[in-house]
Amino acid sequence: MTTTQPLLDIAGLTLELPGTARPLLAEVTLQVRTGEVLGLVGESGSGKSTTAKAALGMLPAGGRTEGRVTVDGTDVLTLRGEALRAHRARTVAMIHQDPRAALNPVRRIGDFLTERLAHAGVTDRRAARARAVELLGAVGLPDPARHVRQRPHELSGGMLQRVVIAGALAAEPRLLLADEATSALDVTTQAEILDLLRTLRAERETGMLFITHDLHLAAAYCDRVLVMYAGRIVEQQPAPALFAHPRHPYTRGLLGCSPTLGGTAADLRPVPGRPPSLAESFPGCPFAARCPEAEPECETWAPVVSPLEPEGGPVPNGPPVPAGEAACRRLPLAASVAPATHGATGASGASTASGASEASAASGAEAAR
Amino acid sequence: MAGTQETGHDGPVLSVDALRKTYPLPGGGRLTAADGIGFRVPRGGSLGIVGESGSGKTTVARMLVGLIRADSGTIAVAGHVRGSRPPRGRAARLARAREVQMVFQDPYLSLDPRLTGRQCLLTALRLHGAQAAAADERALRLLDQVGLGSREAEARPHALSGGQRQRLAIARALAVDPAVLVLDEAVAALDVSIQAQVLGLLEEIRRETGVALVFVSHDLAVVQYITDETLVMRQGRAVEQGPTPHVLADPQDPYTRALLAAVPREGWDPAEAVRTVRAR
Ligand SMILES: Nc1ncnc2c1ncn2[C@@H]1O[C@H](COP(=O)(O)OP(=O)(O)OP(=O)(O)O)[C@@H](O)[C@H]1O
Ligand code: SF4
Ligand SMILES: [Mg+2]
Repeated sequence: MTTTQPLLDIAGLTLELPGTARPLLAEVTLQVRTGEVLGLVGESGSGKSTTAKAALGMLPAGGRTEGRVTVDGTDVLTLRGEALRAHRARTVAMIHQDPRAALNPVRRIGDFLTERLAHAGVTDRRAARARAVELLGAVGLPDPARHVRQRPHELSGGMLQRVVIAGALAAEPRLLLADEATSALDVTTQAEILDLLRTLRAERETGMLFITHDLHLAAAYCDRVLVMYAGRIVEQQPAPALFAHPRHPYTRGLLGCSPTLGGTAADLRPVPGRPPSLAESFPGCPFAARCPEAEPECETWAPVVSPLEPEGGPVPNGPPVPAGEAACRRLPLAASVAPATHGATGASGASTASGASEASAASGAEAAR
Repeated sequence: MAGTQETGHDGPVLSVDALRKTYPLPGGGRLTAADGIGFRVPRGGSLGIVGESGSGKTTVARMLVGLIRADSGTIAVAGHVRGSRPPRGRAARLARAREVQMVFQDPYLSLDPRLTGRQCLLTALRLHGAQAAAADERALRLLDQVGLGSREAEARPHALSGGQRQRLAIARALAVDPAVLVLDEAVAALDVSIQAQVLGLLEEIRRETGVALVFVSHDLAVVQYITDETLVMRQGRAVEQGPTPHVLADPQDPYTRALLAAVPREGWDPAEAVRTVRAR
């Protein structure tokens, strides 16, 4: 594969908590490369935030963990004490949905930034002050020298999110974790923040794990997108491919019920049932109860993520990214499993799957009741 | 299935004219939260109110239901002007409740945690004068109408999912057979699969009962699925209103264009969206 090691490398991460019927995360494997934006989509409770927290070495206490999480070559889950603090303060930074929750309401914006800078090793007060002003300028705030003296309530939600991003950049982290970072903002403000994050990524070559429940946003903003369901990765593909040719029935379901500008009511096809809680366990494919293409065998099929053949065959001079993966027993075996039958499996398998969808739609809906 | 009250009135079910609301500002002066807002919604029709946060959408919604009093302007339901004073007596209260009902973003806050789904509906029905036997039957029919089964009927709110709670809130709002249902960001907090289910339900209900919908949302893509007409608000004023397909396909106001340009879609570039937003 590629010569450079991924910035974030999560391999086979499984996390079980006592008193739950299924693991919070099950065999989660993903990589984020330098300068890359990896999108993480899925409905509420699918494990997106938990995955991001794993990169910070912040998994819930009392759980049983399997697998490995490395950031920039460092094994995160074995970090303790000062090394763990340094990892959280310098290597990785998280941006949450609600900027107000990240900022102390009674402290000045400048203090928030100098504190972040101190964690990152800038302890000289005057240097930190100057750097704080610089950071506020870098995130596009109009009047940095004034903002450092202001308190959070004096700024709008969009401005506060810029402050939080400035704080995240203080330590020049290699990896940014954006967990619904723009979900609470108006669409116009969201566009501004995304524009800013894109510029910063280009300038600083950070990698980014971009969590969102908005599939169209993921399509527009990410390089690759990974879909989670019930703590598992069910599909990953480069963003354009995922949206042009979603393969897993859940991905197709999500796209079918995501409102699109220019769509009509008839295009909106709800996925029956609801996302499962931690109290529900599955002997087989976790999506079976809601899947319009489920067959009896799915109820006992243990999900495995398998490589997908790119739609239309391999890209000759394309970048060295894996074409994609999905976990559905009805999808065709991929190139790496059966190299001799490349094109044939890809094409015929896809049509079988969509043809079957009509025939079994009724039984799938029934199963969900 | 329930039928919305026949009023014998042929005009629009909801007529709103020159609605205005201001709030005092801490430093003196007043903030104009809504001004010059007017629209009509026919029986079974649906109006969307869109705009950024702080544009005045919720202020208008709350005036429609009577949660806040307008400074001036009129709201008429089936030709009958809604008074600004709370109604006196049971009959007057019921008559007023049957004009407009509201569903909020977070149904959790508006549902009594001690009541099961069925009890919640029975309470609403009895409050409005239904006899016990009739109320029982109607509660079951309402639950069925919003797609809640017998398990959900006996569950308390904490044991329901977000989508199920929202269905229950809709069923409760429908219990009095209102002429108008106002929904303020009612699907904003739901997962997309559940959101699509609730949107489908609302569409079905308005077809079957003829209830008129006022759908307040910041999400233009969602509004497009559920409304015939759209009103775009900015700083308390309607900058554009008209048939939803026209407003979305051929926006006349620069602000509407900015809102549309900012909706992420395939091939979308945030930098370009920002330029459109700044140019408004
Ligand atoms: N510390 C914890 N202890 C127990 N359960 C937890 C803990 N953290 C998360 N969970 C549970 O794990 C599951 C996955 O949660 P997570 O927050 O990762 O989901 P998510 O995909 O980010 O959802 P959302 O879109 O709602 O943010 C949920 O059922 C959640 O309730
Ligand atoms: S077809 Fe079977 S294996 Fe594939 S997603 Fe549906 S239930 Fe799961
Ligand atoms: Mg989350």
